[in-house]
Amino acid sequence: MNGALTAWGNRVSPVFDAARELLVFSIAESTISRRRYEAFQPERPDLLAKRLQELQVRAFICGAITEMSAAAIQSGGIELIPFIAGSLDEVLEAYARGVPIRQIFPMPGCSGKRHRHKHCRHPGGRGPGPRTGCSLADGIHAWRIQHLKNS
Amino acid sequence: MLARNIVMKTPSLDTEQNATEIILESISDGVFTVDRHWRIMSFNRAAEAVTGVSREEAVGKFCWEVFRSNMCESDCALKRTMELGIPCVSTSTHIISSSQKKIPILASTSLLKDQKDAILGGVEIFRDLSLVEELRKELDSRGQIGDMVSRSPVMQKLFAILPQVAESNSTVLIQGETGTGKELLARAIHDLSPNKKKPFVAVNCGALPDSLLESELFGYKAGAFTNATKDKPGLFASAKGGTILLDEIGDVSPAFQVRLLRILEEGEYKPLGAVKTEQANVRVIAATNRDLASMVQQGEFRRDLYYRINVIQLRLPPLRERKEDIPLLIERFIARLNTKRNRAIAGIDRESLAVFMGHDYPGNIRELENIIEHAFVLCPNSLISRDHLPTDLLQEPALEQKTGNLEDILQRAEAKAIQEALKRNNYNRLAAAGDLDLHKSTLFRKIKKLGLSLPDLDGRSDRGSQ
Repeated sequence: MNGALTAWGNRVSPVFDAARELLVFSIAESTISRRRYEAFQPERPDLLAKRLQELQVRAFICGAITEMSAAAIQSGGIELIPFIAGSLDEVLEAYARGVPIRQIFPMPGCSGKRHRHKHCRHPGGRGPGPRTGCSLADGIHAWRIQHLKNS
Repeated sequence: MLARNIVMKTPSLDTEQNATEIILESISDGVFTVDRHWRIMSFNRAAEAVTGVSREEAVGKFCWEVFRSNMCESDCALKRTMELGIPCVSTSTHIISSSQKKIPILASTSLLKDQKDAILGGVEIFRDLSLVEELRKELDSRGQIGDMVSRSPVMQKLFAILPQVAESNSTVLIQGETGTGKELLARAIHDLSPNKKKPFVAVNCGALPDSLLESELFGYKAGAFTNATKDKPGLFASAKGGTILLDEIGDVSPAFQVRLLRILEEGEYKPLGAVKTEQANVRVIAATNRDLASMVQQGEFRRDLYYRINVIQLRLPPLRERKEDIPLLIERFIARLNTKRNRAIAGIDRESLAVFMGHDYPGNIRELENIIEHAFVLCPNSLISRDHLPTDLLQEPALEQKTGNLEDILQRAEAKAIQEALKRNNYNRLAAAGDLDLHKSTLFRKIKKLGLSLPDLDGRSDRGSQ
């Protein structure tokens, strides 16, 4: 399964509309098997949607994004996971393991703790990566343990 | 806005610190402070309101994850302040709220220092400009009626009388060159009228031969001609209770003009093959790009029909006579195309705008719209530049030479103004001089000095031929 993410150094780019670099990744057996960078123009979300389709990208992870750009990407049938913040490695690793990254790496104001912004929330409430069949709490717990082991 | 460096008080000065906090909580500008590692240390109430992020979520997070401005990655004002030690005042930018809305803001940054002048971090103060933007749009919309926008005084006068015109049920004649928006004006009249919920039907009379136009407008009964197997209502019936626009009425044949006259005079018509007449309960708006008055003079258009349709006459000026509308129209077309094609073109650069302003637009607004669409297709980024404009637009004589000394530039501008005035006045030198507020001998002298070549026609020849 292929996915893409807007990158800013070693972090998820905070604003899609100002991002310049795309990290395209592949997932195999719950790990990131391949990753490569390419440039893109956020002013042309229509072209990005086409490019993502060419790359057979199923999910697109980014930071804050405007409604118009979001609509352009989603019109290509790509699942959008917006308002994500954090380090690239951590986000990717969690996503590959099927951990719901919306709950683990939300941008401030998008966690649903206090303000429940409809755009911030992920409709499914789960990450689109390989399903593990565990509950949300289990998933988070498993990911944290794994992360601690790795570090 | 606060522009000086902020000094943090020591904990011993509790009262003063509380006072500072109260002030920060009370002001309507958003304020946040960051430490040297870009982590948010404080976040006031207004900042919560503008960003949609609560203080408890914001504090301790990286500022870019909370503030989410388009300048965070490449041109961060706070970073500049922290690196250079100088405040940035009133930087205009936008942030993206948690509800995916783009919020225009004005931001200022300064250093955050303690009492010993040691740098603790930075402070950013920002103001939500959404209301200002809304007011600006409100002001812009004053020059708008229906789908038409304009700031030109001529169009403003037209817009001002439009509600009264729409309120009446009188026949309207709209005259204007091709592409000036005659159908949009007709639709605006309909939309402002008491019958706005009834149909609006437009028909191009010049595009159809008489027999077809007759069946289109009046309909026919079954058996009226071969293949007429069932009744077909015409456009007059379809527009019942509403408005019908008879576009290009100047191109209607003399024979058909008689039929139209009957409808307008008697308010009834007979479908093809019908025995009984039907009532034409519809408001008629006629439009043409031709000069109907002179067509009447030359016997090409019926005088009685002309007077019948010319109850209220509205003239749409060509775009070259309202060039002040070009930036507004460009903005509108870009916004429309952005929505239609999921693009985010911000506008055009100054050099392109100069090209747009220098063109005469024989095809009027339609031509401008097509040029924008051309540029839109070729523009790969967010700003339309000269490279994206059609080649023929860039090859216009007025734009060939853009450089030179001031004298040359002034002479070229003068020559252009004179040529345009002459063209406007059908090369009548006296009228052109009046138009330019010059004495005729001054105009002659300038034409000679600038070496302008003029056609043999001088505007007086028209009078001679009549």
